[in-house]
Amino acid sequence: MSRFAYFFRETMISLRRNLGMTIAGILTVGVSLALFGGILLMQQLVNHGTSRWKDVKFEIFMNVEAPQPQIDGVEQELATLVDRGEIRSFEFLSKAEAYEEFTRIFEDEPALIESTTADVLPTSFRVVPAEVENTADLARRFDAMPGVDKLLTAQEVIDRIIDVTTFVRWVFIAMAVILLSSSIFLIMNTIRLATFARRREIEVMKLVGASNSFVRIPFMAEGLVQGVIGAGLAVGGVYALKLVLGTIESTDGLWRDFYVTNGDVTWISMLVLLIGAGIGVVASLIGLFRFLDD
Amino acid sequence: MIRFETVSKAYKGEVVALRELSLEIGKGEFVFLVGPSGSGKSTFLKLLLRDEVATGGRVLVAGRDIARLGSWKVPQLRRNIGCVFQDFKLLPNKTVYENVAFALEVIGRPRSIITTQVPQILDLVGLTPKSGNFPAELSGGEQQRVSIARAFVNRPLILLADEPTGNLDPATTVGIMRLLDRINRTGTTIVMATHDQRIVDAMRRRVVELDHGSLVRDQARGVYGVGS
Repeated sequence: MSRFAYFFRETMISLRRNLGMTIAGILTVGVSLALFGGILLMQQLVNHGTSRWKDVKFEIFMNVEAPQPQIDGVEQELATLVDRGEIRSFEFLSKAEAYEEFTRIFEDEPALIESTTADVLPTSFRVVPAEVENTADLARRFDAMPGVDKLLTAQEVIDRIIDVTTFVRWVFIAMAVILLSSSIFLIMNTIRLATFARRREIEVMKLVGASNSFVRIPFMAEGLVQGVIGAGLAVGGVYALKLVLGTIESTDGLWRDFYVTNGDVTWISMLVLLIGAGIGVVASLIGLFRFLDD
Repeated sequence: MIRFETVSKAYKGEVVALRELSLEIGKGEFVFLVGPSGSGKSTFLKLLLRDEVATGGRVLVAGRDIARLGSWKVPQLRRNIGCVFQDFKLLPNKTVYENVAFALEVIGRPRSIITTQVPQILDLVGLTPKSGNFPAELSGGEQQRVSIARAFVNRPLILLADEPTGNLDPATTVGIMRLLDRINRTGTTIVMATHDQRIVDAMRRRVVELDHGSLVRDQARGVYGVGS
């Protein structure tokens, strides 16, 4: 027990002695991990937002008056592609089913439902390609088939969202990496100052036969404390971002599907804390091996 | 207890500090290590602590070749060897008591042992009344007593002293030598490097003289210089 009291006391003394450097280290860890956590959270937001489009990649609408043989033709072609493994699955929507969906979508507008019958709605096939990348090729194949009216892919919308988020994500990741490496250097430097400030203690410790771990643990604890406090700040940032995103969630329209859950925030926070602790320990180890030769 | 077998030590730049030195020091002996500056006395002590490693020959402490100890076992070796220096090496921000207790704390001794052994050793060196003082508030002789207390509190088998009286006046020196003599009589082997002719002549103990890294004299009950 006295040993923990010793480590605690020594760590606190050292942290206070280099307060300026300690704070700089904590803040850089905080900012870089906040960026990192923010990226993950935005990533989750986009994942939720695009997930409902994930299942159906494109829909083949038949002419309203397409005769049954033409519909059979398309179905046959789809079945062949399923056999060849190019399409994972497809689903046929009859006029009745289309109408059912139509009434569901426009339930707020009874006049529209009133004036529409199942007859005027087209039948369609909802197709899930085996490989997402092939969506456009597959779609083109059906475009020219007799009886096909038009093709609708969700791909374009998704692509645009993903393009933008990918770009933003890389910019953020680059910033986070730069900041994380500078925080490693800052913590290393704090440890160097700490070992210098305590070189007399260290000399005596080695002289009287303190084990290497006993000499090092207070410094590693110092790095750990800096990393964890920085990560704590970053977790605060992630929560704040979640609150901001929560205001978007409540508004209707395009952003309806873009949301983050408390579960997302929890695992991101855990990860951020873990990385913060890891950075602190690794940085102080590097610092110790460079400045505390045996 | 200590055995040097044709030990040589050369530093980078081909400075030879020790030249094929062979020597044996038994348990409980008190040995003066004399010789001019640069004769190899400090290297001799550093080899014993494994602060340096011999470039030739073997150094044995308690029968073990210390060059072959893993680096994680070096602390164990040092727990059995106390060290006293000319400049005391006390920690200025700790009291006398804390300086001595520190030596036990950092090798993980339990608090119960610390609270019994530290007062005992402070009593031995005669510093109980000053246990709450800081080093800057003590005289040179008192500081060296603290340093000896710290070196001896863990009851090492060997006590090395590198010019322990180098900064002290003659009267204080006598007190320190009495203390080292007392510690020697508890069975502790003492090796003391010194330039102080008077104490060597007065104590009449074994004298080992080095010159340019070679053993030039090993005499029981010797004096500082042959001609003096």
